[in-house]
Amino acid sequence: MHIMYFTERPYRDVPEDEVIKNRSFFGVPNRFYDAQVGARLYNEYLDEDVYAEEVGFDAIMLNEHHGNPFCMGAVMNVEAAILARITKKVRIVLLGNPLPVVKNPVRLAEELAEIDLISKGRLVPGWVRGAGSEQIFNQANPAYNREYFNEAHDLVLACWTKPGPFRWEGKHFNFRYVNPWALPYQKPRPPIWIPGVISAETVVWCAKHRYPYIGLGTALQSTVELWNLYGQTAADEGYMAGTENFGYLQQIHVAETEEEAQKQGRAAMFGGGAANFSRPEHTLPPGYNSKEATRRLAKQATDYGFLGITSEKLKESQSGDVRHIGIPKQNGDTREKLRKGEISVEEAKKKIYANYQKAQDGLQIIIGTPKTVIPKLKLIMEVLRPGVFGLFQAQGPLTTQQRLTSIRLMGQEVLPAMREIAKGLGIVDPFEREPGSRPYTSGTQYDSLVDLEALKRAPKRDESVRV
Amino acid sequence: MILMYFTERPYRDVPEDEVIKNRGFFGVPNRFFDREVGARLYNEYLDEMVYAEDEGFDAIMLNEHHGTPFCMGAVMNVEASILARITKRARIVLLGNPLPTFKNPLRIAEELATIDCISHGRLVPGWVRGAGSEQIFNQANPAYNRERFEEAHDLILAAWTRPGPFRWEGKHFNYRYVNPWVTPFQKPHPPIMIPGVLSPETVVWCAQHRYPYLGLGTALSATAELWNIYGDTAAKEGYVAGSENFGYLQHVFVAETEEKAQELGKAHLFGGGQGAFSRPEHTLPPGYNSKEATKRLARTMTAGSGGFLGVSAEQLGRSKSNDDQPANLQAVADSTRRRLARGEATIDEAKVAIYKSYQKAQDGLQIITGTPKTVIPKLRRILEVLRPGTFGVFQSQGPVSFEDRMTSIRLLGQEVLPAVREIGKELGIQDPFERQPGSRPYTTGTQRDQLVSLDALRANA
Repeated sequence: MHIMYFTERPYRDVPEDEVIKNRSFFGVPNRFYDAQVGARLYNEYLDEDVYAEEVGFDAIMLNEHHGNPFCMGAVMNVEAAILARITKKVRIVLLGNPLPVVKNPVRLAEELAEIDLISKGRLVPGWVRGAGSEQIFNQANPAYNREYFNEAHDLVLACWTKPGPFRWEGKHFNFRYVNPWALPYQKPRPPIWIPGVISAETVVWCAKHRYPYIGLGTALQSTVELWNLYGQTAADEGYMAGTENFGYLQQIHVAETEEEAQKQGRAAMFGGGAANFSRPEHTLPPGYNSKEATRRLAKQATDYGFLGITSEKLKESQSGDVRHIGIPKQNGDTREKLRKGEISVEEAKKKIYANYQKAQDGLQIIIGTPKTVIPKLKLIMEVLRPGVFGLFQAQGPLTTQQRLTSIRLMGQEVLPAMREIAKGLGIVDPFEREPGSRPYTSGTQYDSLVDLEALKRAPKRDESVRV
Repeated sequence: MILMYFTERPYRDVPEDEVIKNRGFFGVPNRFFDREVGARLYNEYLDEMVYAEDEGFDAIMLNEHHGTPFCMGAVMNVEASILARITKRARIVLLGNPLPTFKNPLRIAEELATIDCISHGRLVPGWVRGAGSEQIFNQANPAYNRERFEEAHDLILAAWTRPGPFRWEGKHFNYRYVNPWVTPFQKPHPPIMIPGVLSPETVVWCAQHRYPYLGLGTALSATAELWNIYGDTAAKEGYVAGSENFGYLQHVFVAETEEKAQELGKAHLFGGGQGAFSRPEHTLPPGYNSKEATKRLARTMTAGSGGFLGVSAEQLGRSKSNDDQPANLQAVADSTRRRLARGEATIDEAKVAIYKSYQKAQDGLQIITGTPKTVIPKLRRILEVLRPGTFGVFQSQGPVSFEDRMTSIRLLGQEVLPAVREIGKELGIQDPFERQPGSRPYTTGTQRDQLVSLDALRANA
């Protein structure tokens, strides 16, 4: 089992009222950024990463968002470069570089090759389409999002694997002379993982490329279905998917006592949490989704979850399960009421924090002592059997000390327990078994990827709660 | 004085014959890149920079080139990021980010702001147009080079200093919503320096922006003339330029004994050295230069092109001063290149031609090689003529061992830097952190400061 430490590197000092007034993190004016605080936080987050390596994590995961106090990693390759030099053995997992907004994929190929070399082969690059807000920020036409993504991906890989010089004449990118001098350390190229929030299109694309797919805190019920879709696609492609093809990211905070943990863990709700990452109109700019995905959303979505896409909604749209339609309006309602001036910032905050317990009940966040969090993690591992597991440090205004304590407790108690559990469940990670390396014979039964019995024991997520 | 350590981070193991066969470093196929060597070199160069800080350098200078074993810093911001965290005190001077090759300048503004924050305000970003080969590599239309440079520059400065959100609708870049969350540590923005190879257009632009201008190993006489253009422009802009407005980069290699220094110093000429950075047709793609600059070149560059980044400083100098330079390495490189292209010279003959100019290159101060005792007087001559507030020491390029490079850094730190600082003090040289460039108002009709010493220049002739 490959266990990653992850934080969004939030700017924790952003005034919460400004986030709520703005009805999201994206779009808070940058006059609220204080460079002294920023400088301290960037360095503290790097300290955390180094510490996470020391206490036993296998990897540091980074992500990237633009123009947003929710995540200071606007160009995460800056941090990845530093980690390449200041860490010794952890993998550096980028989930992911937003290909459609990068504009010069050859430069990205050079940048990542350098990082891979400096780290002596510890880089795991990953790619994302980027949330809608990234398209707005970077002036990347959302209508070409998927095309940019696919072409930039192909070009970066060609840079890494096709001997130069060669010519690239695509639809969106043209280079007459591709011959980057420095090439990645890992051959034929670094392993690639893809994170996602339950887009069926992305899952199918991953399975076709044999890239592990990492679910970003998505609801267990719908994640299970996606895993199966991956497995089916893998079989169609002629290989057997297994635990090495999957990963999962879980928001978590651990403290010495249950009381402290519960008190501190409220920070995860700060400003409305991940559900308040950006407003719907920024999350889904016209053209961003395919026609098919747009139709699916139009039928269903009344609210927005992690990065604005409600996994449950999509799942229901696919499975015909409509039990919860109409319920998950709370965030949307609050936002709308704020916009219309029908409720105050204080009232909105009350609504946000009122969901704290429910968010824990639904495993959106896991808060507690090592003793209380381990069984919850075990349940997720039983259901999803992910070869890669990311522990997402809680967002919000925790103190540096509280964050470091959480990392220490995870390293001392949670990680060893998870490794034991994984061993018991026969979970193999992508470095133990190459994803896509096992051939599948048509007509035979392929590996069971999830445990539906364990799923029955899992709590049903309250759709009205978003963190 | 700000003393900078600089290396191009060359891939020193590239087969020299391949470089010569290719008639330039740019364009050597990447099958000659070995990952083990690359990984080791990147880390050794970072070790060197940390050591340079320990040994007393005030700054680490980085540069960026694409698709060439001459410089492994294809995205130097990777190394700048690392330096922000692993060095403690040294300024991180980027000379420079090639603005016209960037397709998303806002991303660069974010990247550099992040680096400035992580370093707690030690970043000195600089901008370049990029050599011709960078335009080719990055598919950046050379005809828009200057326009893209200026607009990207203005956009980045706006992203750093203008409260967001705002809209940017330019000719080459359009953003509906500019509001980067992270802005630089240094306020109102990090100090900016601009390197150059004697383009008067760049010098005038720098003077107008009050940015220090750094001559990249350019010939002294031509450099002195450019300094004066800067000074005159500054006066027109209403300020007095001084040593704080200038910098200079010099190839220096130091060893324990003169004999060893002379032996190792030959590495500067490896593969043809700077003169073989890229072929003329790659250095100056159509449209790269303004009409004026092209006319100037057409009149003077009968031997082809390509000096430091392809522009021959000596030839530019000669075209203005008619003063014949003793060691025109460029002419050697160009004629050798043409003979190679025609199959009139073998690789071994080309090598002989290249290394034959070693002594001349030293005589002309293109490279300074020796013991601390012998290099200090040469550095003094440059300091006396140009009076630069910032001085960069450019470590040897070719196949010198890591150990010999570290020895050079140690000797520089222990003996050369203290001497240079003393000379700087004696000459009254101020650096841009002691005196803000452009901070002294100029009163029309008065005499502006003397920026160079023509007496010292004549003594050097």
